[in-house]
Amino acid sequence: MHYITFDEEKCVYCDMCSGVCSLSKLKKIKPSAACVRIARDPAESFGKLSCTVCDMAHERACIDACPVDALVYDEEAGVVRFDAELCTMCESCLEVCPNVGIDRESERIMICDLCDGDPLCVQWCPEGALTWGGAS
Amino acid sequence: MGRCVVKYSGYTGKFLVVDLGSGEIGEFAISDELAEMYLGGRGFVAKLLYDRLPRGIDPLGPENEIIFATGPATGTMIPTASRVAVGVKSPLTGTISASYMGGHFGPELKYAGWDGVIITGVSPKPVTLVIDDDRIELRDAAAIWGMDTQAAQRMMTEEFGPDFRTGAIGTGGENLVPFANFMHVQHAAGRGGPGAVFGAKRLKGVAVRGTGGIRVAPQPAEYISACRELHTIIMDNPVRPAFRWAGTTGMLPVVNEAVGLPWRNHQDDKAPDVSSIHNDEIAKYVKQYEACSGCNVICGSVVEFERNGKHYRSERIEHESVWALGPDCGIVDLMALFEANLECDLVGIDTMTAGSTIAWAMEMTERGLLSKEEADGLDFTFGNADVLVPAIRKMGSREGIGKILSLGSRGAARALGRGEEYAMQVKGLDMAAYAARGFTGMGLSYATTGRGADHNKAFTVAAEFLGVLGDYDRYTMEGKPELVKRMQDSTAIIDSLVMCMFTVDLGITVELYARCANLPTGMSITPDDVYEIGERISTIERLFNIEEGFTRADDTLPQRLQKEPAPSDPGGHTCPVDEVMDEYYELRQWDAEGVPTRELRERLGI
Repeated sequence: MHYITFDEEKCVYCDMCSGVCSLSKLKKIKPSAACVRIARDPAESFGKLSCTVCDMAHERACIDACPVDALVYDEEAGVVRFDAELCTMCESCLEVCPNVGIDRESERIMICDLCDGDPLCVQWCPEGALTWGGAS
Repeated sequence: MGRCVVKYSGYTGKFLVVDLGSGEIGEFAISDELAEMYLGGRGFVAKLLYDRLPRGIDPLGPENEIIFATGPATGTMIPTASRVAVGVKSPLTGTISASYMGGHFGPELKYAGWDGVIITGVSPKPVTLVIDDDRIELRDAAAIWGMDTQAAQRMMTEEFGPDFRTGAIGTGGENLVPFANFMHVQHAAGRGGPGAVFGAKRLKGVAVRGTGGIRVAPQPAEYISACRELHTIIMDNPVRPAFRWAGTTGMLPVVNEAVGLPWRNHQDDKAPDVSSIHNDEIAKYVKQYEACSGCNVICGSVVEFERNGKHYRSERIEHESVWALGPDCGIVDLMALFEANLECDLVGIDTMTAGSTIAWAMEMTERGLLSKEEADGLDFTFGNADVLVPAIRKMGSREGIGKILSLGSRGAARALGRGEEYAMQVKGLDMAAYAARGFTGMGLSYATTGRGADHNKAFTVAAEFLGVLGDYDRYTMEGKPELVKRMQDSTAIIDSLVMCMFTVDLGITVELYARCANLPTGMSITPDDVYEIGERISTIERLFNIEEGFTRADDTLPQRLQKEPAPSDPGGHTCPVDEVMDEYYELRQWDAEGVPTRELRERLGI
């Protein structure tokens, strides 16, 4: 199983990952709705950076929480797939996992799908803070 | 709120308009024509201030406006396009002025749905402007009035939430220091003193959160690969690792060795020894690296250091700051410079003008023209690192000698009634770290740039020294009017997109700036158009200044730089800009008095 890994020591907060992710998925540069998002701890100056992205841990809480079949596990790709047709925007998935994102404008649940095997965020990270590797 | 009228992508199509006096909130729509003629950023600032401000107003009065302007590339993954222009009629120079800051503020403003913000009037009480997408609010700022720029922003983050981007003035801005800045984290929109205009309007800070998105013209896959090409050009440029590792300070020892670094208030152009402030030394204190939004240059970093038993954490000092507070004052004590740089950022004043004004006070002291009594007992001897922080605090509070020094070197000389010949400035804006006598193009640029001695409006060092954009003789005036005009015009586009000046050194050519404008917007700007739009922006800025009473007499350099060679320069060069002013005006199609001709205005549609 593969997933995106984040090295906070290497991240420089350029936000390119969320820019390219949102453009690819939503046809807009919209970092707040990207599947991968970087945030800074505001408690101290230039505080720690953290990354929100599906870690493919696949406790699959999001799927369990979905009252319809809008979120399903794709065994072959090892990712969660989203079906907008079935989604009722109840947002139950958001409540159970901090890595689930949402674009309310297009009514889409945003979960990393590894860009079909070649994640753009990893390609674009200038410092190698995002890598994609994996283990099961 | 209202719909977008501009047909081009990349823009949100509207400016937020806030009247602090009445509390009224409105919108200003961007037309296709405005976008085509002035592009964004600095171009929008120039056009809006020229059209909107009555002539002769007090920069600190209610009629002055603060204009935040992003560009069509801001926040669109175009490399380095994180920046936002902050425009005002400058309280320091009386000219039109735009300052630029990086970080994440500009992109966030666009994600919130705004190409910019126009702020008018004076608030009856201290306020913070909160922009939460299209929910706009003026919040009472009594609790943070009086705080430094960083404490104020921490409080704003606590009050509004961690996903707001913040910016604030410090006590310098509150006290109307005419070179006070506006700071987003530790990114400063500093030169020209926008912070004082915030202070006069009782606007302590701005917080912005944007959850919307920006559309670009091409299909995502096509756009992503085109942007990737641009990022790769920067990534593969041989200069990029130096920026990445050393930030902006890498140039300092090189320029000093070449007799191009002003020393002791420009009495010489070479410091005896800069090894203690060499970037190798600075690098030892770096704890982490920092990028602006969408930038792969990554010139920023955070340092930790100690001085006099106190521990500090701060953004690393930049080239201009280390020079102005350092060699210009005869100081090469790195810890003192780190501390003074941070103090300027906390008080919220421009490090360059602060340093240059202290350097002026030091020369005045050396010449016996400023006594220790007049200086409140402070010892303004060249090389005295311990005077920096007390002097900066007095500038910020405007107490005692600070009242005089807070006016910048020229204002201080006038207030004191002596020493204007030692004020190293143009139009009231103090000079930068590139010696005019060592790079005559820089001298001509200082002399002719709208808001005075600004090093970033035609960075001719690239063509005179670094071998980028040509191979000009550093010392001769020959060819410099043409070089300066061309670079001033192309730089106006960088400032309007809004991209970072460093791209000039990193392989981004005029053809590529045109591409950076066209990609997100779907425009079809050619390299010739780049120069024409730049010329239009330069010209309307000039008209603003002419109508404010500026004349040919203001386009000059201090006599020291025109007449006296630097002692360390064996060639004995000077920078006699007055000799080429006719040629420069002619190239600009300005008349002999420096007024843009009717033919020029008609050609440019002004």
